[in-house]
Amino acid sequence: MRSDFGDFVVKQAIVHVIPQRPRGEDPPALQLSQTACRFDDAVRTALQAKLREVLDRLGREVVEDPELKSVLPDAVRAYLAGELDLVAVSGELAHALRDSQNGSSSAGLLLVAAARLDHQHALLMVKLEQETGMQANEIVTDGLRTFDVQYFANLLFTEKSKVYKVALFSEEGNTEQTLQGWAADPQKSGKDVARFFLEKFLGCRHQDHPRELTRRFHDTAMDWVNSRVTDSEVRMDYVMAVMVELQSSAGTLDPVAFLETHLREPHRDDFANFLMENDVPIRAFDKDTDLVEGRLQKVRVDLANGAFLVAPLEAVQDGTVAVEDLGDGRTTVTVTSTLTKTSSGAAAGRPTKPQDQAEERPSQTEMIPGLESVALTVPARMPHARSGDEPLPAQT
Amino acid sequence: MPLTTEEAFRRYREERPRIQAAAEATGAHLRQRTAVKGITCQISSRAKEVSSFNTKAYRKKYADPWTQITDKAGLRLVVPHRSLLDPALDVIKESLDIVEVQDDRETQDDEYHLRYPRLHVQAVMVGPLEDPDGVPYQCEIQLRTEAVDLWSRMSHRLLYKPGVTPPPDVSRSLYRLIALVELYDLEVERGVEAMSHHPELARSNLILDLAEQIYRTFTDHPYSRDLSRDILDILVQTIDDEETYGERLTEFTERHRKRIQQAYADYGPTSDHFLKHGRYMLASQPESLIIFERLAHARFRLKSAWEDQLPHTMLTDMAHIWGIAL
Repeated sequence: MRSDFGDFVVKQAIVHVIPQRPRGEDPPALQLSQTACRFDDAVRTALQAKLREVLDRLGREVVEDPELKSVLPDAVRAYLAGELDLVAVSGELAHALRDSQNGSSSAGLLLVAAARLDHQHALLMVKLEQETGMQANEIVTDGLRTFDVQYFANLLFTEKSKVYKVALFSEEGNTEQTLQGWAADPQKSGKDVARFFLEKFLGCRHQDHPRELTRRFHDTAMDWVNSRVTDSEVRMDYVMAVMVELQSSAGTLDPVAFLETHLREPHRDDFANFLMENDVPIRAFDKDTDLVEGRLQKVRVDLANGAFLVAPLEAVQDGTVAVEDLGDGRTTVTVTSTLTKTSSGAAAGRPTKPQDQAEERPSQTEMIPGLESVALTVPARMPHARSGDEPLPAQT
Repeated sequence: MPLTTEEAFRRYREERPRIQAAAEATGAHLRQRTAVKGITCQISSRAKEVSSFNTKAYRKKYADPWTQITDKAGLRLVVPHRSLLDPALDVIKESLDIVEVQDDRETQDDEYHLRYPRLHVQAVMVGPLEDPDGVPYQCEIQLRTEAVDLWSRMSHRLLYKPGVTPPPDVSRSLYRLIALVELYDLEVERGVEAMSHHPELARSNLILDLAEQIYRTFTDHPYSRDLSRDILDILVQTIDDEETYGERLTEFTERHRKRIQQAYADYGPTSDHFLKHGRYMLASQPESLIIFERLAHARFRLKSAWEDQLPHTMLTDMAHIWGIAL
């Protein structure tokens, strides 16, 4: 998984006007540009910096879907193979974009750029709209200092602009079987990419299904908590944060927002790196908890003496189940409630498995007699973990 | 068969551009190697002027001027204080094939004399260039402290006039200054030693010195030291182990050298962004290297330390260059 887009370099670009398609009418004819744009190095590098940032912040991996029948993948492949030059491929893309838009799509420009990514040929396409803005220049008139203010209606890529959509394909993602790349849509704040752009124009779909991404986030976050954080209270806080985040009504999951909201500062970079190492994006993706739904209702705590505890999320949230780190490697788990039943506890009395064997977890609906009356003070063995406040290696 | 003075002069005139190229390549190589070792120093290189070669060949009446004039290429490595001379000498020994080392710093039975503390190395230059006889080009490398360098340059101008012997009182006063040079270097060394016992005071300076040393392998453009100090105050908050950070920064720079070079070309001190628009300001500062490294490895910690302390745009501009979003 890419950690940045710093090796993305813009070499040359061409821009075409894409007029709005009148409702119920045939698409208008295009007047295509005939050669690459003139721009100086400041424009080229400003464009490059802007797109590096947006690709890292919002870029989502996409893959060609032959069933969508877009002409774009073949055109991109022909360009990457050297069979089409920039002017020719951009003309094909302009027609493809015009044909993919409906009456509600606004008029705009298509910028197609010859680029490099990790020293390999790449093709960038940006659908963008012209914006308005003003410019103030300090002047002296009649001996008095003032400003000359002018209005512009043809600005592009202003500092906070969101009115564009981006896609990038490089040789690395061009295999015999399929074409892979990235797409970003700042107008949708990374939650998704406009369907007309992703499917009709690019002929692509997201590479990872939200169900799978959500499951990977859950599993990786739990692995990270258990392998990198020692302090029992911090661990419990983080586990709760993951579960609450996944259960929230938000339709997207933004790992950066999650870590900045819930994790202590010394843990943030390590968590982000851990996610990326495990192929979990740190940028927002659609959330779908289908594959983890059954694991979001209760919290489980395992202790070194073989005892374990399964509690409803609410019990931890309201404090009736509490975890206290004693600072000497031991942990106190306190359960405060009304005793409803006691029994022999045979169902819960499985011996602890040796560490090299896969752990067999009870189902979330399993009864654990006697649990609600237990208050434990036992050493919690976490041989590979670090102290919660200890800086992690990634922050050195 | 040795060349005559006239033949040696003609050969030198023809070969000088190649010797200059080899000297520059050797200087760049040593700059990189000293940076990797975290040694702060200034390295300059030159090929002897054709006129100087000619004058020396005639004045010294060499039997084999082409071979005997060993400083056709010269490099000078200047360190801020004496305790860096030996580490710098070690780097040279590790980096080049050494022909000879002249070290007059601690000559025995010399307590009654004041003289230039010569530390010269004759070494084979890097690269494939050879003279027409197939002999690899050599250079003379002079290692000096800043104080010794100041004295040497000044005394060279006054004492070494071809064909002229300076008046005894001028010679005496110049050699007397060597005592001050020794005192100056001793005091600087003592200060450096004392500072090492107060790491909290030296921390920012050490890291900035190292960053500057590496930055100088990319560009000689001047920068604002005051701005560097402001930024360093924030950056050191994100570095836990300054002892090993130098090595880490050096490794990072070497791993991403081409990318950093391109970043400076696109957004650094000679770019329109900096010169015309005043953007990407920190890409023209040596601490940019630390910012890139921190963005790559501890972006959230950096962001957190930066917030409310320094303008947000300064950091986001650097993040855009590095290709990450904050």
